[in-house]
Amino acid sequence: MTRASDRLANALAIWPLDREQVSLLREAIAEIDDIRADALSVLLREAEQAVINCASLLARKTPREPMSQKATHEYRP
Amino acid sequence: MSRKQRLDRPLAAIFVACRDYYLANAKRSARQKQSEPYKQVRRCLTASLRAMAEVHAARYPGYVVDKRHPGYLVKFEPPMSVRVPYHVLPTFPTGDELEALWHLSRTIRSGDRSVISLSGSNVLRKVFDVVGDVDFCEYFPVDDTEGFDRMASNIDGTNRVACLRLAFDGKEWRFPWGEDRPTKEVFAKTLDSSVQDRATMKVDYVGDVDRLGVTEISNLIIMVDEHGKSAGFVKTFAAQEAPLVPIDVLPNQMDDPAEMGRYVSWLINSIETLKAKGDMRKCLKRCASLSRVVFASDISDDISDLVSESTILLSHKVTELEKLSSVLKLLSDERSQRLHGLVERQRKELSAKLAARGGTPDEFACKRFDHKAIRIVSRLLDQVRPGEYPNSRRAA
Repeated sequence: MTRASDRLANALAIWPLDREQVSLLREAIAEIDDIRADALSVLLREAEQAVINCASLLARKTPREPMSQKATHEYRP
Repeated sequence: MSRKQRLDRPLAAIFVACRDYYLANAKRSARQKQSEPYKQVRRCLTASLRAMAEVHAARYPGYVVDKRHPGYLVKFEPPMSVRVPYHVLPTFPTGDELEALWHLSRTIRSGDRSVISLSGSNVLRKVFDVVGDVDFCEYFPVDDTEGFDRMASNIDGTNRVACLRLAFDGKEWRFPWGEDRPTKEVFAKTLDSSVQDRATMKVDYVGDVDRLGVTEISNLIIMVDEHGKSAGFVKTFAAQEAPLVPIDVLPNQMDDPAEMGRYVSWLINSIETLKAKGDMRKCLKRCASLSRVVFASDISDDISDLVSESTILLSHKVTELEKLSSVLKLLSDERSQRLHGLVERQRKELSAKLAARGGTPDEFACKRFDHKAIRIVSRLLDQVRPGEYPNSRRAA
């Protein structure tokens, strides 16, 4: 395994994928070239950051507060 | 905490937020899509779906990422064109089976302008090795007058595909057709994209399909207006449809938090209803769809294990073939009799397969399957509906 595919494997490991997906993607990692592996790693890291930022933002709001302020009065917990 | 678990909870929180948003805004005609959390969730869904699609594209030669529809991959293999959500790609039909389904879609399609998709649990065919029927969903532009001709002629079927039932506007017609059989004029006059009951039509077929054998086929036709709008959209979900035509713009987007929330909400309601009815087989199919889309990977694995070790699905398929056989047996036309013969042969083959695996599951085996399925349901609902289910905990 090259360092680029290692980086991709690490970037992917954080995503909760099921057994079938993991097995298929493991094969893919072994086959793709370094340039593409690095590009995918960057994309995955950006998505990871977007997920973490978004979850933090949602956690800062009250737990059941909807995304639309105007809908608050209709919200049924 | 293992490294793999780091995104479990944040992702669960995001899908919970999508559902919350949908529930809070479902009845609003103009949804409020301006709040910062809404935009942030959309950005997050877009980034995640795009990254996942890119990663999956690396594994599937011929598939390229659809830049305009985050989460989708497209494959163009003339004359076939398919667009598949990334999360169903590992279990999506391939090779000859996909080609057979594509040709079948052309047999039942209502004209050249409609968008026909494989739908429902078909997109997970490989998880549920034995799938009861083949479901399509078709977006039909109501200004396509030639399409109404095709709709009417599809009722005749072909020598391998028989239309047995159609239903719209609260009425249904069954084969053999009487004098009240709907005509193209009736379709053109009655079907209406703006009225919910008239915005959809369900057509049921039985067909002898290459690679699949004799199978029940359904097509849910949704009428859309010249702007692509329809009151029938409530019955469709982007995340479980794989369009089989090279359309530029899809009616629904997976990275729209409201659309994703609507799908998650529908799956949860459906899971609860099926569980209450005791139909754990079908309930598990819904669970498989939900767990895949919300990244509940441990649950997806458990469903796959339970389905592969149990004969419940195989036994159900045998029962379905018995029912179909009894329907076809009563029809005297040559095509129905031929299909009946094929169904009987298929039923015997599957019965032998079932016998080799221990025969029809007994009461104990059914209870054990149900018990395991109920535990899976509880764990899944605990993740996607925190605080609303016994023993639940917050996802984030």
